[in-house]
Amino acid sequence: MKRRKTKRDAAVLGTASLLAFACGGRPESFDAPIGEVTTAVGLTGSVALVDENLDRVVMLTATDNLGLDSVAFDVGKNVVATAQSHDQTRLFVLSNGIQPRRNPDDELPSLMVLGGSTEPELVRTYELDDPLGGLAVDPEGEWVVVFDAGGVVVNPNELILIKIDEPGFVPLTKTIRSFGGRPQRLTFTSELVVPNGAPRRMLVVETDRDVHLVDLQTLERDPITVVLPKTASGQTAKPAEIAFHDGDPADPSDARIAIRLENDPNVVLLELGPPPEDETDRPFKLTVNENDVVGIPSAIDFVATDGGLRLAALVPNNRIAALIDPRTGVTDVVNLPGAYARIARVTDDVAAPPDEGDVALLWFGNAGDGIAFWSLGRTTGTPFRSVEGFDTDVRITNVKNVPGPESTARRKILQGSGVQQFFVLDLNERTTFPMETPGEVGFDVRVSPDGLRAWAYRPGSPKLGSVNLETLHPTSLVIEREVLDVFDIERIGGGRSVIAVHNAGSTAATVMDAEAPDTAFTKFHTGFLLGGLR
Amino acid sequence: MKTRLVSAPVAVFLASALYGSAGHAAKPLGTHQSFWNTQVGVRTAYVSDGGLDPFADSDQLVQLSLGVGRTVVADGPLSLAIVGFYDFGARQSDLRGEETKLGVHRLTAGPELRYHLLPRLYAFVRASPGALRAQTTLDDGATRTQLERGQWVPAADGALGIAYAIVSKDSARSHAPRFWLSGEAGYGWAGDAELMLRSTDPFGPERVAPLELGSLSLRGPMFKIAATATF
Repeated sequence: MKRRKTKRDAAVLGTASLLAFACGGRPESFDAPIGEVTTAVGLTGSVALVDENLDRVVMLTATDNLGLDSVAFDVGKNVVATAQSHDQTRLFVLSNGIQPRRNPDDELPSLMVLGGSTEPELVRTYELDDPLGGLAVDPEGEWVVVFDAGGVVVNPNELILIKIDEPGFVPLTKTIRSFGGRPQRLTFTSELVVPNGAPRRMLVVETDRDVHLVDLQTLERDPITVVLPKTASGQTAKPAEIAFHDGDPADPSDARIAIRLENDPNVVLLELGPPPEDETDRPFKLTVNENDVVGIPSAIDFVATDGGLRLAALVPNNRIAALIDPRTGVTDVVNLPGAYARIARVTDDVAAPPDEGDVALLWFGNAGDGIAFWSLGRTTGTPFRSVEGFDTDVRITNVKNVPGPESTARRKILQGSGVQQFFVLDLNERTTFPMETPGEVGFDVRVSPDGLRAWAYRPGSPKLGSVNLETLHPTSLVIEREVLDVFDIERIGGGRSVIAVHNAGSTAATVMDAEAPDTAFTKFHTGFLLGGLR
Repeated sequence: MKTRLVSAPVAVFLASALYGSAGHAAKPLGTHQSFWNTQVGVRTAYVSDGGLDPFADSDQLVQLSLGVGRTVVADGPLSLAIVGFYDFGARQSDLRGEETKLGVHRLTAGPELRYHLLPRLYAFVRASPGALRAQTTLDDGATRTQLERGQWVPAADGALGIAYAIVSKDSARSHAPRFWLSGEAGYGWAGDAELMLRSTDPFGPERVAPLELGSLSLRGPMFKIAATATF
């Protein structure tokens, strides 16, 4: 019987082999639809295109003579999130693997780290136990946190912490003790000096009803839960923004974290003060204070004033800024000439900053036109002398930093929404330079990583423009296909190339020399998602 | 089992050699053996090279085969002919939705050694070097043009087969046309064709970089069924 079965098996195998020889199909990847490339990420020396239907990332690198090379990296199945490191050297790809898993070989969820230099590489892969959908990337490049669980039985408050700069680090799972909420937003603080132990960074997790502090120095310590106050209507307050400050570097007991609440006039201040004398193993004791800022604030930030550190809260409805002394809780109200809604410190970038105190850039958001410089050298009694407004005729909704050399680092890009212009703001001279985009509404502006250029483009239009941020000389370009996104990257062998990605066909790109863009010297590359199929 | 299959043609040859040496010495094959021939057939090759995948969803490459030849030497049951073939075939598919086409032109010529088992039946072995042109195109959605590449590469066929005259006068002196059916199997070799597809459309974008899809090696086992007229 066994022999007969073996013969039959051999016959089946032989027939199958013959059919395979006779038919010889091709891999399924050749028939996978391309779909739309919705994720294109610019890195320092490469552009990553996520090919979702084939579970891979195609990395483009620029070569001499307007060339482009491409190399494909297989990533985990079912990519759910991608993010780049703040220095644009790494790409993080979070995938769910095969869900539900039926076989031991079915792929697990994973986080892959790809290097984005001119020589793209797979840096590391972290296997995860459960499918999660959210990624938070530490601006200082130390941590990545995976959160937002999916699945049948879900622990929405589970965080997976990965110390990304430490090879061999085993992903660590922590669960925050939320009372019905789930993580919405994660903020990494800078290093805060605490009364006991080494300075440490904190991960601030905002849910829709509370805030949690994860001590990144001692991960074995349980997260600290901060229950937020009730609003006037009796509802649990919802966190809307986090600010933090280490305070006086010489004082280990004045690090603070501030929480702005959504639609609530109270700002919560957390002080990382000394623990009781009998609890010397604790690095700090958290003290929670509430401060009414006389209206609903739209933005908060810690600022230095001539009277010391203050928490500034902008209250646009009342055209005021509240300056809270975090030590005493005393609030000074400063009248402002407009309903400024957003704030950013620019002290280091302006000419002749106050001896003591910050200079802040204020803008309206969608509430009005213009910007203002708020000098915090004097705060009480002379508010108008310290606020210098500039009319822009455009509602500024976004302020972009310009990195790079001294010659351009004191500039910022001011963008509005639905308008035909943007502005280059010279913080040193406190002047704005309008850049018109006639007939084209909805331009986006991307600053090159070297800080020397800004690229303006509108997805779906073949028009783009470059502004030299040193000379403010604009260059208008009309290329031959509609643009999806524009990236200014390092070129192999030196120099920089601009890659205008076209979401057409098998995905294409127009390449130019970024430092001397000219549509007479371009090269059109096509078929990025057709190569490297297996 | 495999041994039996492989040795079957050899056995036929040995048997026929014995038969031929005894039977045909006194009976010349005449126009059964010495003739001009024209042939039309279907050549099917199995190309396992991945370079074919962008242009076809299977490994077969079926070609129309046209041939012409002339017996140049005959000695007993053995004869030698010079034959030449032009084979043309095409595949059409799509590569992730971008339409692709492959046209293959194969020109080969070489000696064909024949051995007549009967006046109406002969076996043959053939080696024919030549050249192959692979013409590839891809309708590119990004440039909205056709990217293409045509390339000649060296090629060669080696085949073993058998032919039987289905319409034939018995007379070895008759010059009336005879019609043969033949079958052959062998291996078709071709050099690597680089798949660097370029846009030549003046209405496409300026300076389109070639699309590199690797290389195409159109080689593999083949068989052919053909009808031949001799006169």
